[in-house]
Amino acid sequence: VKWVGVISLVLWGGLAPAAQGKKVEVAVSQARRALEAWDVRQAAEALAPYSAEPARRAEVAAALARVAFYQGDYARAEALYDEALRQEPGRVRWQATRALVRSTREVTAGYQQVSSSDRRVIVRYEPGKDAVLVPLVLDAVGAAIREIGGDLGFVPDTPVLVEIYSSPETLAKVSPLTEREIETSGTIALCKYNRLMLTSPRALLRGYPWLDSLAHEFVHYAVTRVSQNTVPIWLHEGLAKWQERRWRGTTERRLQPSAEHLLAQGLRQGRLITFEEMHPSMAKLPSQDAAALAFAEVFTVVDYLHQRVGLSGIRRILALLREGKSDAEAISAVSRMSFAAFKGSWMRYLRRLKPRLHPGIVAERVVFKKKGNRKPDDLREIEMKRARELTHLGELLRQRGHLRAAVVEYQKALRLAKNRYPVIQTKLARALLGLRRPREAVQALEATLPLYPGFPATYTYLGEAYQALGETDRAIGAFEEANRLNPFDPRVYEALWELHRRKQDPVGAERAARNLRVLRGESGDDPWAPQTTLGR
Amino acid sequence: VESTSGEISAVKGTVVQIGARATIPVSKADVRVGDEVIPLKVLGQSLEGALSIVDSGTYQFVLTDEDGKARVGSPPMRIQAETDHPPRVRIVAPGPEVVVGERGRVEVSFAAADDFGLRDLWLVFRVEGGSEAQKEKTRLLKVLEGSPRVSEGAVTLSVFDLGWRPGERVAYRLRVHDNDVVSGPKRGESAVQHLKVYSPRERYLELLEEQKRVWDGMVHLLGEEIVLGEEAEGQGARALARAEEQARVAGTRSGEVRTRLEAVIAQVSEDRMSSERARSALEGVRRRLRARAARAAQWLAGSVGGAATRLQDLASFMPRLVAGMEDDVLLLEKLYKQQKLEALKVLTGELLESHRRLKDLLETYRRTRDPELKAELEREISRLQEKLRELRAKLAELFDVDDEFVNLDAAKAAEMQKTLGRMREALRKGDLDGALRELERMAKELQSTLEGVDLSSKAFYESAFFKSQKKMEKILDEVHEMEGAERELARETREVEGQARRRVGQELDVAKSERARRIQKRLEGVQREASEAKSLLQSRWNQELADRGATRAGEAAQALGQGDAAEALDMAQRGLQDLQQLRENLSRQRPWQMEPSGERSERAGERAREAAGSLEEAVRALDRLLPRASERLTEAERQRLGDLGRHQRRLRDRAGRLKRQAAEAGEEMPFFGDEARQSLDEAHDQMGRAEAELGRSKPREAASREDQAADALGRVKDKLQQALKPQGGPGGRDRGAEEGERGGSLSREKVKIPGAEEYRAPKEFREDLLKAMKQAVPPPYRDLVRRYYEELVR
Repeated sequence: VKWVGVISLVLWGGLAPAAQGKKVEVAVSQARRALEAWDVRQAAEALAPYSAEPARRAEVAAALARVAFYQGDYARAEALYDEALRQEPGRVRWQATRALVRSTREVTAGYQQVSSSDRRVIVRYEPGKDAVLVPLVLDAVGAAIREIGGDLGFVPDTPVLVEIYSSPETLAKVSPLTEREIETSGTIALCKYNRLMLTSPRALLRGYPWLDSLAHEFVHYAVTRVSQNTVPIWLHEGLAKWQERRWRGTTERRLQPSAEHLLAQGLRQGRLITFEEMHPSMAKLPSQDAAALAFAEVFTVVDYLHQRVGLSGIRRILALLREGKSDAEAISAVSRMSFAAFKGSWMRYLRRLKPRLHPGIVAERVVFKKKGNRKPDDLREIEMKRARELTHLGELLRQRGHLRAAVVEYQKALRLAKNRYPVIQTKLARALLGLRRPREAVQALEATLPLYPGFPATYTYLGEAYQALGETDRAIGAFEEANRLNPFDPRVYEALWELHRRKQDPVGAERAARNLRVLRGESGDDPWAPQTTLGR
Repeated sequence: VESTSGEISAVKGTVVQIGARATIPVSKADVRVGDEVIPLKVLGQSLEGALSIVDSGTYQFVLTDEDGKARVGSPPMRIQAETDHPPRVRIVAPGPEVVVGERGRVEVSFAAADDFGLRDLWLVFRVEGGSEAQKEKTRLLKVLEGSPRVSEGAVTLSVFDLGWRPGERVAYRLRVHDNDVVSGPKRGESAVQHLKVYSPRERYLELLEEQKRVWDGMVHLLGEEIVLGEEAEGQGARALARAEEQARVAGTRSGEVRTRLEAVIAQVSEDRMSSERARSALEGVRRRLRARAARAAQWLAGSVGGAATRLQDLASFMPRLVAGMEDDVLLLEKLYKQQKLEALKVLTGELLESHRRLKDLLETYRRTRDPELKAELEREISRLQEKLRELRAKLAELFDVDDEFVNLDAAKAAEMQKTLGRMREALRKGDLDGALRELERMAKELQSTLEGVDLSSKAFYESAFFKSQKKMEKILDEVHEMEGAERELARETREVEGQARRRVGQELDVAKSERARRIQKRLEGVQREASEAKSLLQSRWNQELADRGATRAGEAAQALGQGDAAEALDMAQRGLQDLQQLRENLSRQRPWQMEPSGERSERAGERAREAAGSLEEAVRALDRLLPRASERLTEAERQRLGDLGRHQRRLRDRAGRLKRQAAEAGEEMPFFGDEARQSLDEAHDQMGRAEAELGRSKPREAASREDQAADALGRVKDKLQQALKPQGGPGGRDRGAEEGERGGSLSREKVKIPGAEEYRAPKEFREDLLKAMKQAVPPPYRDLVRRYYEELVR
């Protein structure tokens, strides 16, 4: 046995280098390819023989580092890059990635981690108020896996990792985006490095449709995995935009009025964003309006594609892309027309759609909280001077208890401004609720919804009005919608707790109570029994 | 202590001279007090000595006879050591709290007493509030010579010398010491009183807060009026009853707001830092508020028609009323914000000044190393810190109000606090260069803050009042142009009058008239009498009046001699005004009058009365002699006057348009104040009168009216210019005094706070003034006389 052992050692030592080197190269190359397609499991399997090897080559350590990074294990990833760079300190790309990994590790140090009961979703978040997001994230991503995954033929083989960051600055630290790019394009969520990255709605002045954004990123995740990362940006974003509300169980897909307005404007002025301009990322477009227009365009492309080839056709296109076809080839093959003809046909479809202009509509922009920033109900966004003055007078009166007079002033403002500024209606509704006139409050608020479906205060007051009218289900629906935009308003949870109790729904009541405790800082950092706290 | 019984009763520390006669020849004599033996001087049988009273007890003489034998020379006699009470001092005047200007002085009257004797009087004070409780300080005010047992008098405290600053409240008291050298000097203190150093800025801020309260009241009133407007939409008797009730509620509220607003306007008018703009705007709000209240009251008082008619009537004017109210609420809010920014500017300016003072102190300290200066430096740093704190608070408040216009943030003020902290530390370590470096850094920060505030203030003004500013500028241009046109009109009217007058004079050939010669003589007499009066008078003012009277009488006589009766009349009338004024001045026999009483003054008065009476006669005679120019106008002159009348009408129409524009614009031109409005009314009115006089071919009267119209326009112009003047800070009305030296406009005169008994004389004095002011004054002197009285009471 001893002899054999010696022979064996000799064999390894004498014959292995060339064969061993080739084997390593193959493994590294396999892992790289798998990682490009975000197939982390395959990459890990390819590198498995070397994961415990003490004297491995720099390339192996770097590849393992990347796998760890994609698995969300930032401390291990950093250590592995250190190991690789010790051997080859001049490797600039590794250095850059290590910096990103380190920054991500630092940012997420102390984050809590929670898994869904079926282990398909993992959420990481900063302890504190962001804990209220967790159950909603788990529900939404679960639903997205079911609905969107079902539509695209995707079943995740590893848990979907979601990280929630407290501010755009944090997002900039863990992504290739700069703060400036985040602000100008309004990009607050990303799907990159095999995970969904989300800025907490807490960082925004009025919140944002953060669950739809999360689902949007999940579409990217699914598309990347299904196509093995071969889909061009325009189609990627088109599918994501088209499918972002699908997690709600609805198949109705509509453009937001502000997006419709931008599209109509772009068409009239002949200024649409080209597919090429969308590359490499929508986040790199020069403004929030440009990004919104681009999204509106690609939404209609996918909508048109869907009308022509159905979901199965879309799945087929993704498969062709995975097989190495170009977007033009894949679309030609499935739609049975040349790509140029397809584009022309889409343009005609677009014109037939006749997107409407909504003059005076104020685009629902992403506004980050900043020092000296406006308040969420700042009246300065009301550009019509007299309407702004009257609303302000209404506020002064309301604050002094003259509710009836306040209502008169808000109504005067509304007559001038029409439905252009939802802030007036929410203030009117608030005063009407104070006067116990909930029916009128509902009327005022519902009038704003077609143009401004993303104004959280509308849903909060709508919920209060329905609650006052005794319409429990509608009230719950409105409050839940408010939470999908800004889940940090304790009044909403107070009302939900009351409503669920009224409905004799102890689970719903408990969830509301728990969120309330989180927001009041009464629950500590551990409301959802997290499994892990990431190492500091 | 004189005593024959031998018993001594005296305050501790008293030295008692002892004189005694021994009945036997003695070689030595002592006084025994307890265990102490005090030797006495023996002069034959007379014994002399002194004993200090330390405590109660007894004393006894001990005599040694010539044989050297000691024996008790007297029974024990009682010493009663009385307790020395601490001295007492009381502040007689001023009252418990007094406000003084930063360069002012306060006379503090005191009464002190002690059973032993008073030694000195001290001031004990502490500046209240501030960043850290300041230490109590003392200052010797007076050494009471001769150790009086009772002392009454007054000491003067100089706010400047004591280093007290505007805005500071000082707790002070007087302290006296007695001169008890035995058990040590005792002290007594008065009750604590307070002295507040007047701070124009604080006063301004208080006024701003009061304006805010008015604004708040206006918002409530708006609420009531909107509801009243709603009630007007109802139907039937019950709706009417509700509306009437609501009108009453609104009426009461309106009355309260108006009262408050009146008070604010009165205070703003007196406040040096408040701007003309603010006053004008507030006056406008008051005027409109009054008009709206009157309209609502009129409706409430009415009873004609049924419920429907009355509600209809109400509904017909309520929307306009509410709209006006809305605008005024918004205007007051903007005005408040603007003034707040201006106040911030002043505060920053004060910081810079404080900084300069600190720098001077630091440099002097570097040279002299005077420890007292170091203490002063510490104090100045504390002051600056306190001001910075205030700045931070104000900035935070403003951020809340309107961050759009605040281009700076409280962080800067916080940074300055840190700089100041580092400076204090450097000073503590004796690193004076380091301290100076920090100070320099702070100067830069302050300067940029000041610029930021200035920019914000301008930006806010532009955004809030741009339109009204432009409108007002347009009106100002028009008023300016009209004033010029009116003056030109008066000049041309006078030209016509002059031509006619000269012609009449020539036609009369008065030089040859007997009547004219008599008048001329009388005029020469007046000249002599007035000159004589002048030589007897002592007040320069009165001398000038007599001199002018004499000169003009002489010139009148001369003109008459040359045949120019019109010129003579003119001169005589002017001279008469002077002499009448002089007569008036001398007729009052009051102690405060300008001439001392006595025979000389009486003679002067006599001459003045004679001269004035004589000149009155001369004027009447001249008037009779001279036919009125208007009666002798040529056709061409009448025509020209007609043309001028038409020109006047056009100008009057323009003034009318302007008047309407100003009235209608209301809150759109918030700075068109009441005074400007009244002057515009007056100009319009005088133009109408001038036009009528021109129509009647009375050029002299017309020219006078035209002058008055032009003067009124001039006043409108002045007011508008003041309101439009870019403000470098609050105090648009009194910048000059502030530029060089902040608060320099405050009186530095000694402020005597009169005691209770001292009130009588000034009261009589004021009554005299009031009576005197009621007496008639010739129109051209009204202003002069008014100023004179103002000077007297100032």
